[in-house]
Amino acid sequence: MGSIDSDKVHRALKGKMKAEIEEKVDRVYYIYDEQGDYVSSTSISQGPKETLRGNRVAEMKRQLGLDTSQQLIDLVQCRLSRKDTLEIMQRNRPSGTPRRGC
Amino acid sequence: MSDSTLDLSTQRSDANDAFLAAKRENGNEKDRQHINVLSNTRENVLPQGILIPLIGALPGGRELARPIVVRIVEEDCEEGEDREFLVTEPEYHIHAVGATLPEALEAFRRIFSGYLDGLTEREDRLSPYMRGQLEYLRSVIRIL
Repeated sequence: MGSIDSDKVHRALKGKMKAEIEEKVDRVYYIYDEQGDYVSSTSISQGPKETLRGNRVAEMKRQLGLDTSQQLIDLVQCRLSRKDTLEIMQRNRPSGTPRRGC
Repeated sequence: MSDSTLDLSTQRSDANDAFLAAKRENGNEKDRQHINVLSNTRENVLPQGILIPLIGALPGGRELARPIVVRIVEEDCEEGEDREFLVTEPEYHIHAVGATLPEALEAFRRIFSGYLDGLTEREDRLSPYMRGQLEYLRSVIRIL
């Protein structure tokens, strides 16, 4: 499983995804769609390292509603657009029910 | 004992050892009891990590109204890297990390409780999925 620099994830969520950020002890990101509805969120808690490791990346992509950790990496590396990312999130959550497993 | 069983046992033992060591200095007795009970129950062991029911106080004058199950995983680390524990709940994948298990649990409680505020502030513009998350949080968090 891949690891990602937390600063790069922060920049991608804040910049490309235009996430609203609540920053207290932890950073919590709220992502909204073109209609202004909040469709997803995730957080980066304080950790001993600034590198997000494999299990954490996997959990973040699940929380965001992405299919794979690679999609999160693609988002960070500018290979996945905001529009495409939102489409993936919405496709995975059509009914509003939690998506387990992965 | 197979390699995979050995790996699980080792991971479980490492997590428990770290947890108990930290708890000697400070911590939540109920968390320790749950770790001890469930670390000896094979049915509660996932391919990666262990499951424990989390109960007790949350930041901001709140508490869990009922136990929620969280999964605890220790991240793989290479030589020279610090240890890192990941705590996550399986419903909405709210998660947190810490250098020790108590720190990770504390961070999880903080973030889990914080989502109740964040989503409540945005209640008028939540998608069905996010509204479901807010309803879930309201069902498991009690304000004291």
